[in-house]
Amino acid sequence: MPIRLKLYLTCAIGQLALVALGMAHIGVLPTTTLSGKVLRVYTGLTGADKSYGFFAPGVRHQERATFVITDASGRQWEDDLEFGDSAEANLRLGSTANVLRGVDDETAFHFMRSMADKMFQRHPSAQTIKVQIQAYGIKLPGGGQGVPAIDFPTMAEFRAGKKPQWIDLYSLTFQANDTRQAIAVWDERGMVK
Amino acid sequence: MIDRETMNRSMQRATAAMTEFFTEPASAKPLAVLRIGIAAVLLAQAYSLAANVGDLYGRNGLIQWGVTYDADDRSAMALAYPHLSWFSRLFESFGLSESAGLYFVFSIYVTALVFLLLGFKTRAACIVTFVLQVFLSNSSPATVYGVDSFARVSLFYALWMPLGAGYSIDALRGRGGSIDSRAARVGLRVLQLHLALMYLASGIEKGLGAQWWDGEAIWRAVTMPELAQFDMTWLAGVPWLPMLLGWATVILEVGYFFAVWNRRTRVPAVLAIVSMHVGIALFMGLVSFASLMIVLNISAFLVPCAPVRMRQAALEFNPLPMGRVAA
Repeated sequence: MPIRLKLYLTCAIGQLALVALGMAHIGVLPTTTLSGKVLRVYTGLTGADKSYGFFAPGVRHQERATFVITDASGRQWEDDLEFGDSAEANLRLGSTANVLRGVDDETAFHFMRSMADKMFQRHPSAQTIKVQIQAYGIKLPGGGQGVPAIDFPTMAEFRAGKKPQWIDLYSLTFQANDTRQAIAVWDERGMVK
Repeated sequence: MIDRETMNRSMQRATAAMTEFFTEPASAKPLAVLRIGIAAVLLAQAYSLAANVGDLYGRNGLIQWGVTYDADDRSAMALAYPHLSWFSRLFESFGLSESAGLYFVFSIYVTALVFLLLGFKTRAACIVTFVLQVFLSNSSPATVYGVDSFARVSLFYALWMPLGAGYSIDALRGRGGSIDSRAARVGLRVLQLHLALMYLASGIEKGLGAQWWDGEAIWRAVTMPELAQFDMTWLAGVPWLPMLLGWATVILEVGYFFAVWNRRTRVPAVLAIVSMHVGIALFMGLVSFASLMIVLNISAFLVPCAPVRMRQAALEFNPLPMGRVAA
């Protein structure tokens, strides 16, 4: 076998081994070492670090962001993230709120402020914008810090009359500064997530 | 007890079988179909996102760069996340606004995809497409989903495959390389194994969750407002149907890993997976994702890969002279 083909084959098998390890959630080397960092960069760039657990082990309830916009005269109206020009764009923009459930409070705050900024761009007459995060499902017992526990109803629950609806989880209100950038208006509860 | 000689012979046979599996010459036509398919899907996707490039990827997009990217991070790990902000100074030096620069990058991405589709300067087009896909998806991490992962993986493999050897302008100009090659076989095997492993991992992870066995996962996936294309709440009245579909999905994904290597079960297995992706497109609206997966499956397993010259020889084979020789 020509040496070039041998090299090509070795690289291919090595890549597949990394892919298999990535799918099994096994880190080859700790990222505290140089070789671990190099490998992390490589697998990140090539997509070999993906786990492919689509909708696994289960499908989670959906979350969304809605916006209550108020102008200087007190007039109110609403908007949402599906302002794209195509179904593909709306799928991407609309699902952004789902990211919030996997991040800490500070990151969630920055995401919400960024969304409010975009809304201030879209609605130049807006004075304040309330970013409301909602979940689609039914309320469950439990929850904490004023945020209800939500899940999508099972088929049996649905048959028993429990219909899913959009339920408020938490919100933040922003007002525009002189440069039309969003700054948070803190209520007495502070940041709630 | 197995003696050393028997063990050596077994090892040699296994090595020879592995070598043949990976390096027996193959036609590059499946890879040409892969190239055309990926480029077509990503072009359609780019067309549907073109009006919202700034909202998705811009500094002041829906999720601003500062939220998901630390521009001051100079660590080695930051290299894993090439970001559009890296171009900022370049745009400035050309007197381009950031918005104009973003559209300039996007238009290069689209141009490279057109070149890839046509198979013109295929290798260069592949490199540019891959690099810019990495930049674009890293600059909008909150809006990426499965199709972006597969686009990245496919384009990375495409860098190393003889994609321009068939159905391409490069081939017409005699610059596409040989239509039959060992490199084509290696490329095809990597694609096949990646797909098979991916479905296996996905099937196992689904199988570990109760939702896929009691049908709740299917029920949720097709009734959530984010993905639902039709009112499917009637499924709650026939719970056996989503349960059957959940079981079928797990069994199909796990079974795919084993079925695609056998000549008899390959076509039914791949057609079943393709049907699953058609269902995903129809009932969940994930059209780009489903299209890309269908392209990967068809090019990996359904396009004939026997070397073209071997097929021609088989077609031209005339048994009569052999009969005479025998007589």
